[in-house]
Amino acid sequence: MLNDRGFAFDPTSGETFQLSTTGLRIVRLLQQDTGHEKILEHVIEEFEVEPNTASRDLADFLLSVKQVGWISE
Amino acid sequence: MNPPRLILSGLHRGENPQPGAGLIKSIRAQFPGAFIIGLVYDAMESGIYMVDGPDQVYAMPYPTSGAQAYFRRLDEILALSPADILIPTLDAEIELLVHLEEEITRRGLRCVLPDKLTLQRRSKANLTELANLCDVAVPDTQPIYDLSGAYAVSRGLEFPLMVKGQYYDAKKVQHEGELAAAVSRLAAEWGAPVILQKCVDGPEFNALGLGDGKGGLVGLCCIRKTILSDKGKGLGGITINDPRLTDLCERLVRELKWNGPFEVELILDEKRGEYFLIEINPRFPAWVDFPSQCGANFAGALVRRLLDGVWPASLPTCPAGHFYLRHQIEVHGHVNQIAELAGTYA
Amino acid sequence: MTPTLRLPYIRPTLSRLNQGPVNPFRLGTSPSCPDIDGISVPELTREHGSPLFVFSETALRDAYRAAHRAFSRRYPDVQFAWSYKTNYLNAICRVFHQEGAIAEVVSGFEYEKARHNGIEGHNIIFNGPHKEKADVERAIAEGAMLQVDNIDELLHLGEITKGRTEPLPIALRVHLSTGVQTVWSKFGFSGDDGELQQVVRRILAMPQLRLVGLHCHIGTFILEPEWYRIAAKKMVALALNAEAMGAGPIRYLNMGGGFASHARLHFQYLPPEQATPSMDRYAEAICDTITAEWPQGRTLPKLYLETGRALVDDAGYLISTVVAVKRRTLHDPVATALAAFGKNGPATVAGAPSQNALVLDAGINLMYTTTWYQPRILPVRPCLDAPTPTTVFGCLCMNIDVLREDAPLPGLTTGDQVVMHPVGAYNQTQSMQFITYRPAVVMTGPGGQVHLIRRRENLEYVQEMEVVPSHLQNPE
Repeated sequence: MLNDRGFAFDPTSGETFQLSTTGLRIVRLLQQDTGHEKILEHVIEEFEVEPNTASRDLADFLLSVKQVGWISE
Repeated sequence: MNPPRLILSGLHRGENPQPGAGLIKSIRAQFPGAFIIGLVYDAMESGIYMVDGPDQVYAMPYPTSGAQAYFRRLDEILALSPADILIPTLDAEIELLVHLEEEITRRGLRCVLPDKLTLQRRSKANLTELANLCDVAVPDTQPIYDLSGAYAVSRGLEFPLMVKGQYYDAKKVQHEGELAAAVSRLAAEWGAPVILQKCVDGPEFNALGLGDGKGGLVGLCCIRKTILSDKGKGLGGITINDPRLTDLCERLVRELKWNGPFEVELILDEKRGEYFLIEINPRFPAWVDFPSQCGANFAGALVRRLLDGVWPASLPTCPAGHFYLRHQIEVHGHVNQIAELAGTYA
Repeated sequence: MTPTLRLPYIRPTLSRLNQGPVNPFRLGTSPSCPDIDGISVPELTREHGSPLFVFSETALRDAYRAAHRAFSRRYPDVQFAWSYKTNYLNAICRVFHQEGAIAEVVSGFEYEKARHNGIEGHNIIFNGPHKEKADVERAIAEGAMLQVDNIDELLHLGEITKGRTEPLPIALRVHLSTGVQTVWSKFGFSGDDGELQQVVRRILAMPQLRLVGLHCHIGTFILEPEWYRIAAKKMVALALNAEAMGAGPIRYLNMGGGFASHARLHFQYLPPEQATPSMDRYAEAICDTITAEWPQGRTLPKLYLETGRALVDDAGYLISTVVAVKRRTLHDPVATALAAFGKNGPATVAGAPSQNALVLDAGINLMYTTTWYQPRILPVRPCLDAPTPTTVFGCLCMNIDVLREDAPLPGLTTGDQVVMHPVGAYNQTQSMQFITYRPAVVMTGPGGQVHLIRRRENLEYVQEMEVVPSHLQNPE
C-alpha cells in the first residue's frame, strides 16, 4: 500500500517506508512503467531543480528503491 | 465549567515505561470529559494506541533541538487543538522548559514547574550536597565529563558501580570495560556529565509526592519495590507506612520548597538500618496511576491545582498493604495510524 | 509545453521507518540564514568569495557593552582586557579597544600586536607560562601588568630587577579547585595547598618586587556560574591572607575569563539557548562574592576580566558552499574500530543504514574548534523538507576532515550555501594554512557596510617566508 502522503507498507515483508514528495512522484511514475530517462525529464519539468542535481538524486533514489526490492534492474 | 483540555507526553509503556499513559488514566478518572492531547517523539509509543488513550496525538521535536523548535511546533499544535494545561512528564522536557514559564503562560497554558535553581539542586550531579544539607544518607555520587574522569573516579569508588545518564537511564557496571561502554553510550544520548554512583545493596523504595511550592506536601505515597526487572525497573510494589521514610521526604521537600510532582528513589541499607537517597526525579513516575486506585489521585490533584490556582486539600495517605503489579498487554493499532504520524511534515 | 510554475524541489528519499523513531519533527524544523546583519549571504560571497568569515561589528560592540554593563552595575571598579589569543585580527581588537577594553596578552608577539594597536604598556596585562626575557624587559620598562605564572619566572624577575629603588608591582597567577572537572594546574600556583603562601613569603624576601594582585582563570566554557562564586571567595581569602603575611595592599583581583558563548559542546544535551548562562549570572557570582567577602569599609580591589570567547564567538560566522553531495553508509562502530586494527574491514552491505553527507569548500583547518564544539550549520535558502542527520565533510583531502558527524540538515545540493555559527572565537588564531588558501575575513557594519579585514591568502603570501637554496633555484 502507498498513500498519497508517501507512506508505504509492504504487506509481504511487514516493512513500512516514508517517501518525500519528490520520491513519491518518482515511484508513481515507476508504477506507470515510465523509463528512467523519461522520469528525469518529468522531475526537471515539474520541480525547480538543476538537471545535474536531479540526475544525481534520481540515481541515488533509484538505488535505494532497488535495495528495498521495488524494482529489479 | 468546561472539561479541561490537557497536553501531556511520555506515552510509552514498553520496557522503560513512562508516566503519560498512567496520567491519562488518573485524569480521566477524576475528569471524565477531559480532552487529552498527547505529544510523542515516536509513532511507536504504545500509549498512543491504548483504550481511552489520548484524543489527539502530535509528533514533537526532541528537547535537545531547543526551546525555539519546541514552541514553534507547540504553536502549530495549539492552532489545531487548543488546550489549557501542559504537563511535561520527561526529565529532558522539564530541563528545557524550566525557565520558560512565561513562554508557556503566554500561550494560555497553565503548567506547574520547579524553578531552575531548585531543579539543579536535585540533579544527580548535585545530589550529595542536598542530601548532606537535609541529613540524608547518600551513596558516593560523582559527575564525570569524560572517560579519563570515569576511570579516575571509579578507582575511588570501586566496582560494581551505577553509571547514570544526566536525565535518564542507568547501567550497573562490573569492570572498566563495561564502564567505558556505558559512559560513552550515556554521554552520547544524554550529554555530559555522566554520573557515577556507588552501589548500595538492599531493598528499593520509591516515594511519589506533590510539593506545594512552599515546603509542604499535598500528598505522598511510599512503596517498596517487590519485583525488579533485570534493568532495575519496579515491576511490582507495595504501599508502606514508615515514618522515617515520610520524614525523610518531608525534609527534602521542605528544603527544596518543591513545586509539583516528584519521585524519590531510595535503597535501604539493612545493615545500617538507613535509607540512602539515590535520585529525585522532577516529575511523575510511571506508576502514577497506582495510588489513584488506592484513593489518592496525584494527577487529578495537579489538574485541580491548575484549574483553580490553588492546591486542593491534602490527598489521603495510601494505607499500607496495597500492591501493584506491572501488567503488560498488547495494544492494537493499524498501519494507517503510523502513516498519520509519519508524513505530517511540511 | 513546459509548465510555467514548477514545484519547490525536495530531494527524493525513501526511508525505512523501522530504522529509527517514526517522527518527521524529531530534529525540529530547518531554520535558514539568508543574511548576516541584514546583508544577503550570496551578496557577501559574490564580492569576497567562498568560504568567507564574517564578523558583525554590531554584535561585537553589543556583546562588550552587555558584559561591561553586567559587571559595572554590580561593582565600582571593573576593567575588561581583550584576550588577544581568542581573536587577534587587528580590526576585532580595535573594536574592543574603542569600547574601552585594555589588552591581555600571553606572548611577546601578542604584546607587540597590542602596542601596534595603540595600547600603552601600562594597559597591557602580560600573562602566560612562557615569557621571553627580552619581552619581559620591555614589559617592565613600559609598565605592563605582569602576572607571574611560575617560580622560574619569579626568580628571573627577581634577578633582572635587583637594585630597583621603586619595587616592581606584580601579580601571581593562582589555580583553584572550584568544582570545574579539571583544575587548571598547568597555570600558576596552587591556592588550595599552601603553595601560594610559600611564594608570597619568597616575594617578601625580595624588596625589588611587590605583590599587588592575584590572577585566576578557572577554566574555559564554564556553564556553571556558581564555580566563580567559589573562586571569588577563595581569591579574596588568599588576598587577605597575603596582606596579613605582610605583602602590602592587594590592589586588584583578576578573575580571568572562561564565560561560555552560544557554542555547543559535543555531549551537550540542551542547546546553548538553554545551557549558556547570562552574563548577569557570572557577574552576580563574582561581584557579589567579592563585595560580601572584602572587609567592610575598605576600598574594594580593582576587578579585571579577560573574557574572550563570550565577547567574540557569537559575532563570527563562516559562510561555505556545498561542493558535493553523497550518501554515507553507516558502519557498525565496533566493526569500524576493529578494521582500524586490520581485522575484517567493515563490508558495505546493500541496504545498510546510510545518511546524507555533504562536502563543503571549508575544512577543519579553518574550524579547529570543531574538536570540542558543534557549530550550527544553517542553509542559506529556506528548505521545505525535514532535517535528517547529515555528515558534513570539509574540503581537505583527509578522512578526518569532518566538520560535523550529525548536523540536522534538509537535503541540500551542490552550489547551496550554508552558514556556520558561532565561530568567532579561536578559529582565526588557531586556523592553519593547509592544502589551500585561507579565506578572506570581512566585518559588517551597522549601516550595511562590509569592510574587508583580512584578504584571502595567495601564493606570494604563503611563500613569503620560504627560502630556496641557490642550488635549487633553477628548476631546469
